[in-house]
Amino acid sequence: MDNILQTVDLTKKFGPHTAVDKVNMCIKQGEIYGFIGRNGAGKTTFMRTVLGLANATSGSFFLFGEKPSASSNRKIGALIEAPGLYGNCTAYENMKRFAILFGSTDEEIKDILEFVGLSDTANKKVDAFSLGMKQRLGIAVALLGNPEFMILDEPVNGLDPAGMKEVRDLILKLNTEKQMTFLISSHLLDELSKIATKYGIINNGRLIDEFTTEELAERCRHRLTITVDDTEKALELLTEIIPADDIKTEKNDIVLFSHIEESARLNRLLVENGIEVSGLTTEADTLEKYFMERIGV
Amino acid sequence: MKELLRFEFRKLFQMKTLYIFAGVIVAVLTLNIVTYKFTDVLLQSDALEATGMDFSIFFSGPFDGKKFLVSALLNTEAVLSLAVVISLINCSDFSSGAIKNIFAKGYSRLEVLFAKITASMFVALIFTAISYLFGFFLGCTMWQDIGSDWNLKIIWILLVQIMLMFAYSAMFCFMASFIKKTAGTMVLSIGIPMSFEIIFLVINVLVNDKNFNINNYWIQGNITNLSDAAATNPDIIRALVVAVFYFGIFTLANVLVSRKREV
Repeated sequence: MDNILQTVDLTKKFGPHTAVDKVNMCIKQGEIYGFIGRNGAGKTTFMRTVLGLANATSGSFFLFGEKPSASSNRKIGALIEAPGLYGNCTAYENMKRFAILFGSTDEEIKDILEFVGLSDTANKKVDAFSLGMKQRLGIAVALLGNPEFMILDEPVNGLDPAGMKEVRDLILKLNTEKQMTFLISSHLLDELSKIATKYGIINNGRLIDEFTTEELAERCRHRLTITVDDTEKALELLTEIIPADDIKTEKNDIVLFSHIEESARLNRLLVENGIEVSGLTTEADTLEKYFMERIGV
Repeated sequence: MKELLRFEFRKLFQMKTLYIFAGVIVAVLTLNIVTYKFTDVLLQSDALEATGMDFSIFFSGPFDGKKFLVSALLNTEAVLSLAVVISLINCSDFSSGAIKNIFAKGYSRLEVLFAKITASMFVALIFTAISYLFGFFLGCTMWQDIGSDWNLKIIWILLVQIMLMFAYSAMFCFMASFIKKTAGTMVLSIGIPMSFEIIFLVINVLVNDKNFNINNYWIQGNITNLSDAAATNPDIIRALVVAVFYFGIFTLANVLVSRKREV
């Protein structure tokens, strides 16, 4: 798989404040990269720098294996912060204007508008659109010119659940049918977890963690937490039937990563051996919980 | 670059403000020329004889198509109209955020800048041409006289006036790039030339030398000097130099301000 985006110690400072701090990121062709971080973590600044909207302070990045150029940027579609649209024009006129620059035909404009659900807006000016409609039109503009790489900053912002699903389905369809690569930032971790194939967590400008969905599943795997009065004795008993790699202790808790479905039998075993069991819970970390742990909240 | 020009001109021709201010130019020109005609008729009659004043010192003819062709830019609000339209051309993409889409697609700051400068110069040309056309037409119609002594110098005067309007367009483009807000750009583009008139008046009074007029080194002063078909060759050459100088200075300043602009 080719690298679509690769950054090397990419840094962006605004005066004394470092918004993006030596970020090393690699996005391969066909990936849907979920970019997660708190407000002000540096997600949007990173995206703006990669798109050339902001100038990097130091470091470098490569698009499609080359140094950034007009030709590499032509292959990118982007929606950064609020959609940049002409409020006194219709959806079609907005698309038509940008189509002149991005090289799309009238047929493609109509197809894209239908795709995002804006084909029946007729003479309605964009100023009169709802936030969700503007967001859809912003995505439509980003799709002009058949990009190979889409950079979307909070693409479902302002959309209702049905709209979110449509955008999600659109992203999956483009990824599957056209092998389009995506870099998506979102606060809606649940939404992101339904489509992303790889994640990056940024905090205070630093990329603190990167993992694939498989790695996330491993890190957030199901567990059985047993709260006991004597962890040493309980551990000694349980290691006779459960592999040591699947057991860990946390204060008064024994955490098991296997034999979770045998909670009743394990409980009986411990009680019969004189160990008091005061709690027995099964759970799995969500992306949100994992994210909160990683950024230290 | 070709796509950027198509983009800018599409926006320009869909801009209602362009047509509104073209109308303003025609309306103000018509009002001024009609006022001239009315005053001329008054002076030709005996209506003002009773006052005992010689009004002809304020109001000198002959009036014909040629006079109002050459003085068209003085008799209308072409500069103010240009300031408003150029502010919109240069600032609207930034205020709407649409410029992000353009830069993200790999168009450079300088490509976008030169496309906007080209569109702005086109507006200057159109507004000047409208002023010439209606000035000449109204002058001919009102006084039934196209004028006499037509020569090549008239063509040079008109061409250099166009160059001076290009210099104004460069100045307004620079202000737009520097200020980045439509309303602020309009206010300063209209206010600064007005302020210069007052400042230059004060300077001339302070210098108090009849051989020196600081207005000769500013755009508007040269438009005024060339609004008479009797303008001399040195006047025309100085006006051309002033036009090229200010066009160059403001365009260079614009390049320096725009080339690494973040959005």
